[in-house]
Amino acid sequence: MAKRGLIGIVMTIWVLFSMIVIPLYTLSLLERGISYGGQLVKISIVRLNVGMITLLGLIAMMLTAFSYAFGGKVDAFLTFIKYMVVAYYEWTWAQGIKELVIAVNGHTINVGIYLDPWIMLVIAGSLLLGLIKAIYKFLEAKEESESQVFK
Amino acid sequence: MKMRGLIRALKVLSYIIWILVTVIGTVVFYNITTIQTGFDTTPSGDKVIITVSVSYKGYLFDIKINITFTLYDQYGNVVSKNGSVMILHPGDAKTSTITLRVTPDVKSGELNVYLVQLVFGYEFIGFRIKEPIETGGGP
Repeated sequence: MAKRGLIGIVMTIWVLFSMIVIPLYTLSLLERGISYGGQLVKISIVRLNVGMITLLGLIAMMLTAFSYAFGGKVDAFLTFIKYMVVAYYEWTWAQGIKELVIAVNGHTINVGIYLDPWIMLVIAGSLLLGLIKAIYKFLEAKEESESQVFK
Repeated sequence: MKMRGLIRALKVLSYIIWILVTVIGTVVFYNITTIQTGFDTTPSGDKVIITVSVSYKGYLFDIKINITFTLYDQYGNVVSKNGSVMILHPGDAKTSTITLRVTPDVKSGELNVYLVQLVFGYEFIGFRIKEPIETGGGP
């Protein structure tokens, strides 16, 4: 039980860092500018909904914490919801990078990256994995509760 | 027992999707790096002829490249606009000429490049680059 709790805390912190802290810190670094070949290159992602990224990251973090806290069938349900939140998080990023502004030596270049069909495949794979994990956890919880009834 | 079978089927399906995403993604991003473009400008009276050369050394999939030049006056009105669309197969090299009318009121210009990887005929991953071009202010 204590081990599960510890893993839950570590995973929750990891979600916070991987979905909010690291991406948004990298974004602010790029906006302030990085030195490339002796030149200062500033990259800003104009269309990215930073508020939505933060919100989805926080929701995923809470879902991770709750899934470890409750366990059983609730864990299975929360796992799938978390995968859905992460899918929307990936979609938000894909929409954001459609408009980037790169500034080098006073010159501004507008760049857009269009990943829609590819990100849809990534999301489909991710949701399927989430569904499998959720079903697996549900079956495990069901078997456990049945064995407790027989005892 | 039925549920276990369903899990196995879903697992296989998710592996297939992951392999597809990884392989196609890797090939597509590599292909994008093999594209080379060159521009050669020749003035001719009140016109300028731009020769665009594109070479593509990627694998499996075709690319579509759409290049558009736009010239503006000091108020931001379009003075002249022309472009070219090319579809290249792996190993192809093509050239295209774009003619633009250059008048004395031309104050600025813009180059718009849209590069897209075609996977089974569908636009899969695309890149758009829009940058200002230097203009001489007309003939």
